Amino acid sequence: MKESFSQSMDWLHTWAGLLFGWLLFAIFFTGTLSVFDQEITRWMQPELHRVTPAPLDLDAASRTLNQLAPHADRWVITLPYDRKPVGAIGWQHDGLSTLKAIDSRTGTVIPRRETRGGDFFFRFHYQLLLDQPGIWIVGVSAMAMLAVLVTGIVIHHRIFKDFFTFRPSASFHRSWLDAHNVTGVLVFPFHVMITFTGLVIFWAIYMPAGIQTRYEGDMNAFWAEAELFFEREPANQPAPLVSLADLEREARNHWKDGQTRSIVVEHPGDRHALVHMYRRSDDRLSLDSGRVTFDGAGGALRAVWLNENPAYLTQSVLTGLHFVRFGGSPMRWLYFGMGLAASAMIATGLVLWVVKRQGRHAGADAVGYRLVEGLNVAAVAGLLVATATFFWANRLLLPDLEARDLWELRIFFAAWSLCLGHALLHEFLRDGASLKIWTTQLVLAALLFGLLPILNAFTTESHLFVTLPQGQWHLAAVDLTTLMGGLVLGWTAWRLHHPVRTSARSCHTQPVSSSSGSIGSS
Amino acid sequence: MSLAAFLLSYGGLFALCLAMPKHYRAMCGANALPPRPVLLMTRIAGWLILGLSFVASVDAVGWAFGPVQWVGYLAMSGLVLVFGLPYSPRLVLLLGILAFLAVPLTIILI
Repeated sequence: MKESFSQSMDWLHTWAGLLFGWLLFAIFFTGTLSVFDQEITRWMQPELHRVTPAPLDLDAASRTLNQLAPHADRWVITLPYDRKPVGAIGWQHDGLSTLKAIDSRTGTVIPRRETRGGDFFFRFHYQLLLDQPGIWIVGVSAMAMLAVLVTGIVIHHRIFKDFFTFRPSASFHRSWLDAHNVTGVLVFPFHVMITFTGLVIFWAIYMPAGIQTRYEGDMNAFWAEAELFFEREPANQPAPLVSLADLEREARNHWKDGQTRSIVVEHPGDRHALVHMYRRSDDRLSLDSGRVTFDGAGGALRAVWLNENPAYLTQSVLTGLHFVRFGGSPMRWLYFGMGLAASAMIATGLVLWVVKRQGRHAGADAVGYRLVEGLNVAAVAGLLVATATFFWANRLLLPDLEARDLWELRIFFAAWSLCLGHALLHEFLRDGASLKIWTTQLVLAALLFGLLPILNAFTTESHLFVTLPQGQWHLAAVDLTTLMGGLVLGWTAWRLHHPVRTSARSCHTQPVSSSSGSIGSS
Repeated sequence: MSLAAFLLSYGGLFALCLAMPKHYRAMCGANALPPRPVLLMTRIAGWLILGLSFVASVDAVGWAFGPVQWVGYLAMSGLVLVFGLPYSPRLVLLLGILAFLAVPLTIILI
């Protein structure tokens, strides 16, 4: 091997970045949206916008559950709070889950459209809707991300010389590289933190050796010890459930100023019923902040777990750093901004791969080059179009359509596939049309995002003219953000055709050979 | 106080940026360049202000959330600075001066 260290780092950065970049962009972009998953879900359920928030009557909720799902294996009650002002009940029966919004005072079900809402982005973010295999694919991508981050720093020799440097008027390659470096270096602590903590969340899946040896692979035995998790089989003898409101009052004594987040009832109506109360964790970094377990039939206290075990708490704090349930809206906006920067870094990296090779692959031999170009457009602009389409589908599909939430997903993936088809078709049938494909899809995404507030005004009664005067910021922010997104995307598309032309065209003569952090040596 | 922490993180990065000759010229004219000691002073001031922004951030939201918020502020104010610089150097300069004004205020308030 006569290659130098930095050349091999460069090689790794280029190819790991390219092969995982498409997937990583999707993971980071949907992850960024998941920061506001509750707000997106709320926006997507306009039927609930009129409901005035009130403390949830737990006994009323329990009565409703008893009517709707008396024989369920498990009940779940989610208490309302500022991000999610309407309480919810859910149950699992024979492996099927159901979730309903309820009126906090009466416990009656409020009809609303079926939608995955922000939860769709959240699930796609960590498992690509593929369950366990998806978690593995995302984990491998995260490992690649770490490798690409480290190699990126190694090959970027001029980090300090180029600090604060962005030259939009320089050559195409130079300005994309600047943007790539700036979003990489300035937000570097976040990139490393979010990627590493993302891996830590699924430590039990990615590194099962410990549980395999110590507990012979029995996850439940591990949870029982680590989380004092208490489980038991149903006795198959009926027994009435005690008042959940009383239990919740008792649980709150253990919370130390905290609030209850949710309640899970195992085997409701059975003599062996168990009631788990979970503490809300938005006042601390740690994601799991406490659980109290009661006997469902007698109300006796079974277990109190406040997550004070150092190793477990460490994992929980790292997980909490990833989930950003703490710090309220300001912290979430910071994560949102940094997540967008991370997505932009990945997207500019993908573009750079192409830009560096422009002109070198003329003619028909450039199948791989064309393929990358097409995939780049579909992975970046195509995903943006699909995301915007998902929001449109939420407003345009009939509220009581059968399997409505699935139709929203189908439309999302159909839009994404169409974008891929469009990109590849143009790449292979028309020569050098890549700029045009980018523009088409970016303009489409810009229009879909930018016009969303107008569609919202026509299809709901909680549009900007209502939400802004009433100060309903959680709802208005969604409209305003999509509007901003539309403007930025539109500007980007316009910019592709109108590069900044100043005297600095001469930047070509600058020592490009110093190739600061160039991906792929020329 | 969180606003002060954000302004300070911008001010710190702005001072560090100003201490680099090529960025100094971009903001203050092609021929302007102060003597080396002034640039060095600006650089030291930049690091001190960044330190102060950390203190302000921790003071605002506590030890648990403060460092996280500070990293976020650094990233966001850095992006504003870098992407603002080529398009509107004057605005970057103006915001920088505003951020400097936040320094004495923060010292009094902490």
